[in-house]
Amino acid sequence: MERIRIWQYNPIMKILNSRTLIRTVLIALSVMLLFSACASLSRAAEDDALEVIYLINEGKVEQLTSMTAETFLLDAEILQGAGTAKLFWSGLAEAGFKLNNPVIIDKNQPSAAEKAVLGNSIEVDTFFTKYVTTDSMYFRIASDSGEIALIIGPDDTGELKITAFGGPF
Amino acid sequence: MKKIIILLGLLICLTAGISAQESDVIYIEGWVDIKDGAGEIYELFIGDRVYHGDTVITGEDGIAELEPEKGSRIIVNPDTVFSIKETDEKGTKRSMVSTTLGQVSFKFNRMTTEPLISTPSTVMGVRGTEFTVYAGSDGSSLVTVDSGAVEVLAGGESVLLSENEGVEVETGRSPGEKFEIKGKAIDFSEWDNGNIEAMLSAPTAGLSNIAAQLEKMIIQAEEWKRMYSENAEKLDELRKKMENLFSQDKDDEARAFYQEEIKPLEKAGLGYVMNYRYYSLSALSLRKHILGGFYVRMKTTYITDRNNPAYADFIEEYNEIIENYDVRISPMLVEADY
Repeated sequence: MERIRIWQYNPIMKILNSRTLIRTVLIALSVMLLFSACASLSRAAEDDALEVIYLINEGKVEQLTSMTAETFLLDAEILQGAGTAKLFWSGLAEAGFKLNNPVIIDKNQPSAAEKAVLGNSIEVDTFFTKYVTTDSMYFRIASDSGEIALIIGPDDTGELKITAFGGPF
Repeated sequence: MKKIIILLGLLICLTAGISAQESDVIYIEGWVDIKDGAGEIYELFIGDRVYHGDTVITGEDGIAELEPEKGSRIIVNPDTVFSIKETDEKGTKRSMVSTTLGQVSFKFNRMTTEPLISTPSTVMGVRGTEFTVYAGSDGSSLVTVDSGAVEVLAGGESVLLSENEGVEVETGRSPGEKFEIKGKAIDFSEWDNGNIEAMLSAPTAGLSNIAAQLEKMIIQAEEWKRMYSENAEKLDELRKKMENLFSQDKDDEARAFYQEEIKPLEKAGLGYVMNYRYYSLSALSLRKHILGGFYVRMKTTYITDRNNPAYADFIEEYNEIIENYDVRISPMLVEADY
């Protein structure tokens, strides 16, 4: 009531207060949008990790190959070309490797700790510097076959790709 | 005698080398990628040009036909890794065409560039011939000649192949006995499947062969790097002398000193860099496409039986190779190489 009275008697103050209000609302909205964007990005990446698990379990070699980055880290080994990616995914399928009862036990933006999981070498360092973008996500997945590490991130066109696979540990 | 001899040096990594120009892409089928010298990977199209430092990678349905010169052809078949590199021989730049993995057919016709190449581990030259190089998943090579002649050099020994003859070179070994290919085409997949089977049945032996091949490349890279470093130190000393001459206002003497003493060493230094880069990149290629492929096969074969002693032995030896590589080769590479 007090506030309304001030605005009523002082139009300039009323405008200022309106602007402050608008600014506050805009900032709050921006923060909410940012949080919601982050949340949806994380959800999307998590969905992708689950999709990779599903494809591995179903032995969907072609789909896994097309989802794999052109340059791909397998443990500490940098591999290149769709042929090598296909060799890996078809090898897993032929071996009957499955991630039964999978649980995502860790999800992070890849950092030094995640890098160390895949290997301590100049190759791995270079791979992370060159190919792992800041909007990539690292997943640690537990399953009946042991724990694996996955990094999923966008390529040049923004399409999400499997960038790294580590384990089972 | 019109028979033209090709000296084909089978490098440590099943590398088939021949002198060639940078090439125009005249035909593409399926998916073909190119990794340029800056490390960028993109799709290759008809009309593009493949330069020194580029690597052509074909997919399972990919074929690329390159034209290094009018009338000459290089056909890069599916699932192949092929690159054009450059080396220095006594101050002269030489192109080196390398097949790291897969199958590449060559038809060379009246090359205008003197094709003979000689390095400590490779000798090769091209003029008017047709032949095919097969580079296997285990690092071994197979060379067959359709016309002309090829001298295959490996492990310090050579075999001269004539028309319709072929020879196999196992990883790190001298060329085997030559054989007749008349009337029968070589099935690369069948040959390579045999290699893979043998490799998986005796993994540590396969690894040892690759390690030996890699070691040869590392020794070469280190030797050229050492020469480069010594040359760089000498250049530093000479440049200081030249600066002294300039500081004493002996400009003409300083310029003459530069031309006579410094410039030749600068040129030699560029050659040393080119050569140690060539060998270190060859080592990287061997690791990425041969050792990497072997690792993938072993990992997937034993992924549900990881405690198998055969796998444990493999991993132990593999880790030793990687450690050696990391210490000796990785420092010679730059980010763009990966």
